[in-house]
Amino acid sequence: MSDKINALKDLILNHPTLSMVDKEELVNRVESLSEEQLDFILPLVQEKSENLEKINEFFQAKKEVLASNDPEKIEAFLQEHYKKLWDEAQQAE
Amino acid sequence: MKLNFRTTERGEKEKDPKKVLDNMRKYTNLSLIATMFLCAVMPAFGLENTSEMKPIKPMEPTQSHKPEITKQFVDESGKPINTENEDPFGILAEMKEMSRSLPQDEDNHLEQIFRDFQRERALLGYGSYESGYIPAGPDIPIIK
Repeated sequence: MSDKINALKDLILNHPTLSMVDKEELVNRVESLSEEQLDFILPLVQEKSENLEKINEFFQAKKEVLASNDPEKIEAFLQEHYKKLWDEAQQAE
Repeated sequence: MKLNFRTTERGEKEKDPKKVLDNMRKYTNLSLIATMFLCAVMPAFGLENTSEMKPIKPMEPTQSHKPEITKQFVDESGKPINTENEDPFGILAEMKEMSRSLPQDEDNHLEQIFRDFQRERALLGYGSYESGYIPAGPDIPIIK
């Protein structure tokens, strides 16, 4: 198992606020990520714990809408999602 | 989070374009990562049939978000991307407007954000705007 996979798993499992259920859900996917994706993800997750909270928040929301397998619903969700990100980007420091 | 405003001569609060685009770049990264996690085990979500999903045409921009984009974006192979009718989430024109006061090199943010949009949609099985369907999967190349 690569060091990057272990490092990401540790960061998830030791996160101060995520629930154990959410942690396990993310950890179970880490080994399916490519090396390139791990290189992209790790620095952002290491930067600050709030980033993993955001990732989990987006993950849970997308999981719900993707489970519908309804392209129109997914499209509408993404439209709204990115507009919210843009609004937040204008407000956050 | 604290609000990131600076004060103008008239005492009004004004958004810092660079900071806003930095924030957006980061949020699109986090959003893309969430999708990578999702796609890592797609069959668990009943998405094993995504290859049967039809590609969706880009949404028609609303009047208020009508894109006025002059910058030529390129894809990861350097091929030009036609963005005139491809404002996938109706916010690219707003971001472009906000970037007008920034130096040219800061414009790179918009290109990266646009690519994140494309990657996210490709991961979710939407396909590219130009070439039609791209199978969903976790192996979309990442350019930082």
